[in-house]
Formats: sequence, structure tokens, C-alpha cells
Amino acid sequence: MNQPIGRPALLGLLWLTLVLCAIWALRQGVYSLSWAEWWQALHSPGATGVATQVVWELRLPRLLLAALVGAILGLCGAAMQGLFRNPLADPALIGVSSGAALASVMVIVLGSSLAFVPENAFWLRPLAGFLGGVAVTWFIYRFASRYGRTDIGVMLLAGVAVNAMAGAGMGLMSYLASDQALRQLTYWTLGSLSQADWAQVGLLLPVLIGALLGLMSYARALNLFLMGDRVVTHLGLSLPAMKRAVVLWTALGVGAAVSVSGVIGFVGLVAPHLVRLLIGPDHRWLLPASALMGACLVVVADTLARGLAAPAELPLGIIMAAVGGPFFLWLLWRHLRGGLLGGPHA
Amino acid sequence: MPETHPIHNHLMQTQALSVRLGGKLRLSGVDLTLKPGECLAVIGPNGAGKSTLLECLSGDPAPDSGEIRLRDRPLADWSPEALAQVRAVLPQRTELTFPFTVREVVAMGLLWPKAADAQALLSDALTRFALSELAERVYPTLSGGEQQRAQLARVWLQFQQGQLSTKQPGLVILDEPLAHLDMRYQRQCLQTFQAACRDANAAVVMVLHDLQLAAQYADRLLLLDQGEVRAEGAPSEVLKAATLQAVYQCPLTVLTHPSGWPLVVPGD
Repeated sequence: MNQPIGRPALLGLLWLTLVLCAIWALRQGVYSLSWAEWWQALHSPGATGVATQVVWELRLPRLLLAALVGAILGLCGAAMQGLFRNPLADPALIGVSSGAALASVMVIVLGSSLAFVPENAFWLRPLAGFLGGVAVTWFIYRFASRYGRTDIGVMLLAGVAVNAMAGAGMGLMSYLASDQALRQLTYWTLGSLSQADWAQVGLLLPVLIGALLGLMSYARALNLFLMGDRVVTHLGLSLPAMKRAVVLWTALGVGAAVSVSGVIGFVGLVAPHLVRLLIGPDHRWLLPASALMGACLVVVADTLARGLAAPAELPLGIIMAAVGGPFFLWLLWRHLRGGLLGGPHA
Repeated sequence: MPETHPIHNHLMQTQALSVRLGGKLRLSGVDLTLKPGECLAVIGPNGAGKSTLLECLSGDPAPDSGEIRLRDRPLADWSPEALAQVRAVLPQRTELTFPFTVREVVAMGLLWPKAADAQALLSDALTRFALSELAERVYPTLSGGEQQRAQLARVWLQFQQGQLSTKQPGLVILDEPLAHLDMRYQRQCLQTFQAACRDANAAVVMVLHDLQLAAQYADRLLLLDQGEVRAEGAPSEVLKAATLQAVYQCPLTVLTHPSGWPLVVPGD
């Protein structure tokens, strides 16, 4: 094989990278800890003391959340690119992100004025984001489906329209927002994990596991789908079930991720792209490897977001865009010259 | 090789098949039978409904009226999994822009990629369509003919593994299998599938545009025009100058090849 690295080897390497990034992320921070203190704190979750609190209440949930958000975005990006047969597709394209973002923003701006909402309901924004993502995706999916077929091109165009409408809704919300809500809203729009807590980790973990298992069971169908709609059926797999699974799990995953972290671009694009460069486009390996790659990327980016301007914090979305944008342009340029997009062999 | 198989007079049979797509009648009243061991070529001008017929026989779209039976069971009653073991399909077009290798593309024809015989079947399919040298090349960078051979090998692989699992002769549906192939590979491709009919008692339905090759390799021809069957039977019965001129609307002459089959040449 002319792939630069074996597939199981890449998965192993990505796990190792993730662990190393995690150690770095847990060490990094305003409150400096010696290795001994750090190790001690890591092993005594119940202990009192600043070191334990810093590690267990601040850094660990944030690290796990970063890894979960990255894994979900990488995984969903890879699946969505399969569904659109386009290595440049992104969950944001069909309105998942903007639907989730609009719903979350509505909660930020209007939440306090709703009588039935209990004070400090931490679950409200994730729930709204998830529902917003699912609602928009479901609408677009139904809109583009006729006679049991889903026209991916129509989905894409409808996504553009819905993105524009969601953009208008977000504009309206920021116009209506109080000063305090506006600050929160702006920060959230830029993408940030500064509000990380264990509850969010508990919310995203089952979503990631579900999406990974749900999408992996359609990995072979996704491979066949790249050759045409009918090829999936010709080999005895269900095309509608595959499309439904990809749309649903992507909506769920991205909706939940956006609701806790805001919109973080490029992960869903760059992570699968890097993986394809290394081991090719086979979804049976691409999906899990993209999840790991996404986790590594967001953990590194978030650690930089915390560390670069310490004690202040940069929004994660800005770091991702600042690094991801040029990086992606470089990839495009390299591959346009090689004549192939997203391949290990250009 | 299938050892025993119950005798079906018809592997596949359609009755008064009609299909309407986008408000237009694409197929109207098509009756067709396909026996095990038989190779049927569907011929006809552009837009005659050849691809629609093959798609119907593959199971999608379902006909608006009429019936399709596969092994004496309505096609609609077959589960996708069972169907995939019995029939393999080459679509007219496959668009693959993702950088899979040729080996990966061909391996997608495997119904059970982890089966014990999967690797042996895969390398046999690669050899049969002269792809061994190209196996690690990236599919989108290949020429049209090389890509077509990879698709044919994929379909062959599915057909072979299906036959081995059901222990019954299978059905191969090929929409323009010779597209982009040069003379040598056209011949090899037709010989390969013809041998499957002869030796394994399988059946082949294929759309061909080359009437010479159709006459030479098919047992029977089905001439479609505007969704209707204009003629059906042995090549020498179907390839008549008057019929063909009316259907293709161009002047042509039917000669006889030294080996006996009809030769259709354009012009008076």
C-alpha cells in the first residue's frame, strides 16, 4: 500500500497524541503546579485544596469537553462529507450549526424572561441547541425528500437559505439583547469552552458514543454511496436508512457540541481531511480516526486559547479560524497542484 | 461452482411492465423472460428505455404496473440482502471522486469482506479484468477504460461471492459494460460473462450499443424503442435492415460475417 502509514498504526498514534496533548493541557494554566503536586491532585479527586480543585473542577472537565467537542465535530464532518460526496462539506452547510446556534442564542437572550424556566437551568442551552439543530436538519431533510428519495443538492441549497434566515434571527436577537446577554452572546458566538463543567461532559459523552456507533454501522454504506445512490442498494444495504442515520446523528452531535461550545469552525473540515491524507477515504477507518484527530485539534487549540494571553482567555473559535483557515488554504493549494482533493497519494 | 440447483424455467420474468418517470411513460408493456445460462442483450436507440428497464430489473424503481418475478418470487418481496446475493448490477455511470485505490473499489463488491475466501476472490477478480498492476493506483486518476474495468471487477466479485453463498446460479445486470473499453477488453469482458453463463448457468442482461458484439455474444436480443419491445429473439431474427432502419432512423445495411453472425453497417 502506498499510504504513508498503516491504518491501525494511525489510530494508535492518534490515541498516543491525544494522551500527550491531554497531559500538556492539564499541566497548562494560570495556577502553576509542580509535577508532584499535579500527580497528587490527579489521584485524589476527593481531596480539599487548591491543586485538587484546579485539576478536578477546572482543567479536567474542560479538557474532556474539548476532546468530546473535537471528536464529535471531526466525526460528524467526515460523515457529512460522505453524505454530500464532497470533501469540502461541513455540518454548518446544511444548517445544523446555525439552527443550534440560533436556538442557543434565543435561550441566552430570552431565557430569563420566560416564566417557566427555572433559575440557572444549565441544561436549557444544550437542550435548545440540540433541538434547534435537529429541527433545522429535519426540516431540510424533509424539504429535499420526495418519493422516498433525498436530493442532496436540494438539501445543500435549502441549507444555504436556512443559514441566511438563522443569521437574520441571530442578528435580531443581538439587537434585542441586554448588555450582559450581549457580552455572553458575543463570546459564545466566537466559540469558547470557558463554561465547561462536568454536567456538559456527561451530556456530550453519550452523544459521542451514540454517534460513533450509529455512524460506524453505516461506514460500508457510505463507501458505496460515494459511487452513486443505487450502488448502496445493489449491494443489499438500505439507502434511506443510511441517509437518515447520517442526518440524525450529525444533527444530534453538532447540535449538542454547538450548544456547549458555540460555533467552532474548521474542525469538521480539517480533521477528516488530514486523516484522508494519511490513510485514505475508507469510512470504516476515516470515522474513528477523524474523531480522534478532531479531539487532538480542539484540545491543542483550547490549551492555546487559555495560555496565549493568560490570565485573559482568547475565544477558541478565533484560534481555530486563525490557524485552521491558512492551514486549509495551504492544503487546497497543495492538492490543486497535485490535481486531487483529499487523497493520500497526490 | 454451483453443484445443485432447482430447475427454474425462468430465472427472471416480467409481465406487462410499465414505468412512468417524471410524468413520462418510459416503459410500456414489456414482457421479458430470462432463463438460467442465458445471455440477453438489450439494444435500441438513445432514450429507448434500456437503462430504465435494467434499473427496474435491479429493483429500483418499482414498476408502476406489471410484475417482475425473480426465481418465481415477486421482486418486491425480496429483501435487499437476499437480492444482493442473487444479482449484481453495473450502473451506467459511477462517479467516484474520493481517492480510493483500485483494490478498495473492487473490494466494495464483497458482500462479506471478512469471509475466508474474500481475499482469494478479490485477487481473482483483479486478475480477470487485468487490474493486478493497477491495484494500488488511485481510482480517480485512472483512464475511463481502466475505471470501467475496476467497476466490472467489482460487479464480478459480488456475483461470484453471491453464487458461492447461495449455491445457485446468479444474475448479472450490466448497463453498457463496454463503455470506454478498447477492442481487446470489450472482447475479454464479454467472454468472461459469457463463460459465466455457459459454465455456471448464470444469466446476464446487458445494454449494448455495439450491434456486432451483441450479435456475436448474446443468445438473444431485445430491441427497445420508445419504451416498447419492437423485436425479440435470436440475433439473426432481430437484426433485420427494415426493423433497424425504422427504429434507429438512419440508413443501414445488414451483412453477414464470415463466421455467420449478422453485421450491421451504417449507410445504404
